[in-house]
Amino acid sequence: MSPTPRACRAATAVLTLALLVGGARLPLWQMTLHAPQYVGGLRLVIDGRGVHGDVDELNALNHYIGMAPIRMDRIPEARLFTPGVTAVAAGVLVAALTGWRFLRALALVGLWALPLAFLADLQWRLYLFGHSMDPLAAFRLPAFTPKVVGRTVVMNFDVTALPGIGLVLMLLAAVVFAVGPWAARRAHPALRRLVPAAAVLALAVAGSAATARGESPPFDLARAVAAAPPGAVVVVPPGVYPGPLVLARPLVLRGQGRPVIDGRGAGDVVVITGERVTLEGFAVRGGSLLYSREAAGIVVRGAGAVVRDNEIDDVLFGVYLAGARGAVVAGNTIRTAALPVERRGHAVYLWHSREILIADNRILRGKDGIHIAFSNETRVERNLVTDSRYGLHVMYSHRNVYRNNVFLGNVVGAAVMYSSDVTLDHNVFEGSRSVAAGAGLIFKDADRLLVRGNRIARNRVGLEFDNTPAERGGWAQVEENLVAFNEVGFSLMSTAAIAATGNTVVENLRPVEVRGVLRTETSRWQVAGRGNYWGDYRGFDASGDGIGDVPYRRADVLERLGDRAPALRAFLFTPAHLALEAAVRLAPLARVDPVVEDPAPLMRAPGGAPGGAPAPAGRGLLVAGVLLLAPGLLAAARLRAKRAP
Amino acid sequence: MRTITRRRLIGLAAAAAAAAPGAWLLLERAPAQSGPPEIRYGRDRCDACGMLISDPRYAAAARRPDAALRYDDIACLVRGAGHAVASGVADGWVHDAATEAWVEAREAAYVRSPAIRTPMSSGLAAYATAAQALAAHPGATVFTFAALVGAPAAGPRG
Ligand SMILES: [Zn+2]
Repeated sequence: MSPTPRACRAATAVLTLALLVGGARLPLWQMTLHAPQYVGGLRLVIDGRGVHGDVDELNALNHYIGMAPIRMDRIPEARLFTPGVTAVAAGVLVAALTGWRFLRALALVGLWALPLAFLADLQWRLYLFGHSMDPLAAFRLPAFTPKVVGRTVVMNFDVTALPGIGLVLMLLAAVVFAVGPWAARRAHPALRRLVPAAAVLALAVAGSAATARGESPPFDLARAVAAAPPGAVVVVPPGVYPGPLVLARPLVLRGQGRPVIDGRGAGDVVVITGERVTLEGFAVRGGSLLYSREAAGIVVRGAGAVVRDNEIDDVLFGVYLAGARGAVVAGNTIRTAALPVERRGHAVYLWHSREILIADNRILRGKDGIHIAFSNETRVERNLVTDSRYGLHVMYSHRNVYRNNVFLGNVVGAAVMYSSDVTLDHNVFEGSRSVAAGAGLIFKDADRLLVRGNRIARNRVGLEFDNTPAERGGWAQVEENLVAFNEVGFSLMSTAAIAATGNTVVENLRPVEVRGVLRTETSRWQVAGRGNYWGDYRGFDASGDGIGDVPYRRADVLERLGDRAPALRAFLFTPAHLALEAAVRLAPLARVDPVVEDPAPLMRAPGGAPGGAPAPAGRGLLVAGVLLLAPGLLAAARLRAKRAP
Repeated sequence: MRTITRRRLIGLAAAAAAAAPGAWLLLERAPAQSGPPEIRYGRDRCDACGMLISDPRYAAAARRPDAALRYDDIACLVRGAGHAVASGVADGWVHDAATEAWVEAREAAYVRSPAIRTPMSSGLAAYATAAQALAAHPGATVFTFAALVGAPAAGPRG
């Protein structure tokens, strides 16, 4: 017996609908980008709800090469997708129920059009992306067209794009609907009996897929927070939730699939006033950017808060701890809104807080990366801070530790002011090259200061000290640091009195400068008979104890003159200046007070020469030096002979 | 004696090498100006404390016949040039914290509050008039510039 046409139509329709609706909720398209700087590659997935994956990283890259950011609100036709799927599904259903041929034809066209239009539109968008470069971008790329399916290689970026399982299912739906009734009539009876079973199975799979990856669920975040008993764990499904969100009681709020809390420009986005609140796994964005409102992505006022693994973007201040105690801010990625520096807020801002741990955050833009004011007993560890004014800025904050952080390309790596009992160790301060103000580290009125094991390189000024230590009996110990490739290694205001030992000072245009009235007795360049390794030290160690037998001295002729006649400072670093300096060093005819005198210079860089301090070039250089020095020495001897009649 | 002569000699040589372009440089920079100097936010440093100036609301400036001075905080203006400005030897300017317009320092109205988070934590904000200051901070005490200079507040030292 042969099935009725109606039964065939019904079975076909059920299978088609299952494939269509299920497919529309699964990934439609996916793209993987491989480049040396992204371990494991970057992924982008498009489904019926939007774009997912490493969107932020890709947008950062796009920004770098001048491509427009990927944002759903710039792809208006994406909004047609869900209504389109709904309309076609309705057409399939009605055609199956009524048997209207015209409607069936229409639904068939729709079934084919949906996935094909999706691909065509995506290709069009990709073309636009590749052909709308910002000519002002940091890096310029020739126009190109990424393929919607297949592999595209541009420079060192290798992009592979593939249709997703969802799109395949949708195409399958079109095929099934086209041939289904015909096939159902002709198929072997045994196979035929399987059709309803297959339809039911497909329906079940699609249904479970739909629930697992459902659209913005009807989850009321504010209500869930209000209803949760104290200390409860609330898991928040993916979606976009409106801020501001106030958390006033102990609670763990855990985002799954990085749900978004969007302040929509209203003010603060999340405000934690209660004790022991944990906020983790969210994307927080869209706070008020009005400078006078000083709004933040996350405000912490309560004690014992944990702000972990969030992505905070497009806000004035990132995380603001005001009067907080015992909070942890860890593993977040924070980028304040792209505003001029005087209109930005700090990425992490502590104000009258204490016992705070700030660790493992990536801070990619802020006015100050981490700004700490009136906040004591705080630890800052393993953070990365770039593209900020001061990477770290400490004011009136005591007994804090700053360890294993990396500060790259900020105007100033760290500025520590009016603070005591400060420990800064094993950090990296690099690339603060601003001509006007660039510096790795600035200390002003810092007391009981330990600066140890840091790498301070490629800055305009490596370390600058002003009125440090500030108090009688205070101290500032600078030890075992690498100070390399800076224009000026140490810049000491005459009010500074540091003790430096075991530092490796190499390849700086000028190792030390002193500004203001010179008082050599204030700073000490050795501690307990151990000085520093100076790359330009030309002494010897006959005794073989690793300490040079003649002191390391360096005078700065023009610098001293410059202090008397500031106009001459304009000639610092010119060839004339350096030549003059070299001449004075070779033939110390002019007795100029040294700006640095290390009585116990180290012959080798301590700690395995972290900067690759060049080994002495051997005897050849020594011979050449003696030969070069000889005329000068002879001249000096003759002068002396004349002078002593 | 001899060494001093030598030192002078080298100094003179350097000065001579420097003189011509140096003078030119100085002349180039010399054009007499009036009014507050331009502040390049995020790049210029405070002439009193050395901090980068980055908040227009509290940035201040002064101009002496020989120099233009820029400050990140009104307290730094008071510390660096307060007496000169108060006595009329120098001109001084502050920003109206609400409008960010320059106001003559001697004519502005000042309020102080720990709630005002200024770059150097002085808590000092300026407004064009006392009425505007009170509108922004109801119930606050309004100071004149002379009063600020008379009682310069030390920065907080926690
Ligand atoms: Zn200042």
